[in-house]
Amino acid sequence: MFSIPHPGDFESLKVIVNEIKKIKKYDKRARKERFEIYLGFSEFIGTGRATLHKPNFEELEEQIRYAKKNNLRMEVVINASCLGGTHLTANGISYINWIFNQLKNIGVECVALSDPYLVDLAKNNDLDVNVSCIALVDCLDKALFWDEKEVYAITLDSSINRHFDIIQEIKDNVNCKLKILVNEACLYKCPMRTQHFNFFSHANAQNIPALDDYYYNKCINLRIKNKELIIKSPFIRPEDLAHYEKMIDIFKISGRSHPIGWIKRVLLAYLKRKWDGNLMELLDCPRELQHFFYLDNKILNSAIKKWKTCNKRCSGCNFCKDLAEKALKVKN
Amino acid sequence: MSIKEKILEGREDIEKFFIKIIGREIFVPELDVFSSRCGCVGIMITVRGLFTDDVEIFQKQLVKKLEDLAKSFDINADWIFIRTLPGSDDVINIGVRELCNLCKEEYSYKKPRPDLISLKF
Repeated sequence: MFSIPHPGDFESLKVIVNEIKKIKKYDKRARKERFEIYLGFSEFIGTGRATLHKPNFEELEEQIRYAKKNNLRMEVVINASCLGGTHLTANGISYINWIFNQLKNIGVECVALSDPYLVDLAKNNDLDVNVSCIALVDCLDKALFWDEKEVYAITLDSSINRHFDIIQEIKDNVNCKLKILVNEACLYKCPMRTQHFNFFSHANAQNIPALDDYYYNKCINLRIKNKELIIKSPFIRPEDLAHYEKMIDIFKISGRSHPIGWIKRVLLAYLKRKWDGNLMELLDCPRELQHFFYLDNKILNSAIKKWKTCNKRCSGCNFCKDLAEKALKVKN
Repeated sequence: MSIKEKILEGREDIEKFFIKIIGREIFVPELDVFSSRCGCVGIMITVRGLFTDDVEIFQKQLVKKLEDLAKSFDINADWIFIRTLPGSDDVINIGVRELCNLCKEEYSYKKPRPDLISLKF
């Protein structure tokens, strides 16, 4: 199954649906594929990404009806990494319960959450839960904690995308589905990940007039200074999905705040499992770097073999550094 | 006329244009002429006090005005758009852009992103 980013407005949903219909007409593999769509819902609780459109319940209901009619599963993302304690107040509990109840009533099947308390409330409201990547599930113990809550799926922390041993161990020991972000391309083990998600969570829910996104700017600067970080970021090439198929149930495409033309391009590449050219054009997090770097996808063809057995002790290995030298060029 | 004078005049002119056609105060704090790494060139206008309804009513005149402004800087107005504050009708930017091939692929939609509305694409 593929999980597709949806910026939140009806027009974007129609573009996505039309694109899926078109692909299914000429692509045999896509015909057999199942799809789900996810969108942010930042009202009060917030989400961990920028939300450019906030549909109200009425609009959301209309979109869900349209998605179901087109055989698409719809997931609502409410995955703030920080709620500032408001969720544990009497008003907060009532309000969140009310929101979950409303979502259930308008036909939402699944919510993506990162807070265990919210998971319990959602389950009480008969909603399926996908554990968000913001819960940072990067080992078996964390996965078991969520699996015991009988969640629908766990989205793994992208930092373990190339730790095949850990993913396999989780797969062997949980009952729920496993989801993996294929193109997020954040820094490997990013030291600013929690703070960045916290910033977005509050900025989204409370409209904080922040002057700048420090973490994003820092992230871009680090990559310009040290391009090896781009290779080390745990993206999965379209061609490499096959290596994950036995362990992973849902391939999630990241990028719900990007233009719909970009979302369409990325979806097509991953569905076809093929991309010729600049791989940067598929990567979410440093999208602006697609104009600066050319990452030759062909040169990365066999890298997955190394990454599958890599012990992640980078100080004793120059594989990613050498690969960056070969595959990553500054565009003219 | 120097580039500097042209930019100064352009900002003032577009502000006066809005005030005249809409009939109330519209503030244009900044007008930028830019070139991007990707190859796009364009003009970005920051506006305060403008709403999507205003743009809808005067879209034809606005597009013509922006095309002329772009022409004065030797920029082809391939894409003209407004950017709104997420979840509101407040217009905060107006953009005119001569698109590179990659951006053409990404942005050539009536609503390429929920906060962007294309007036010409």
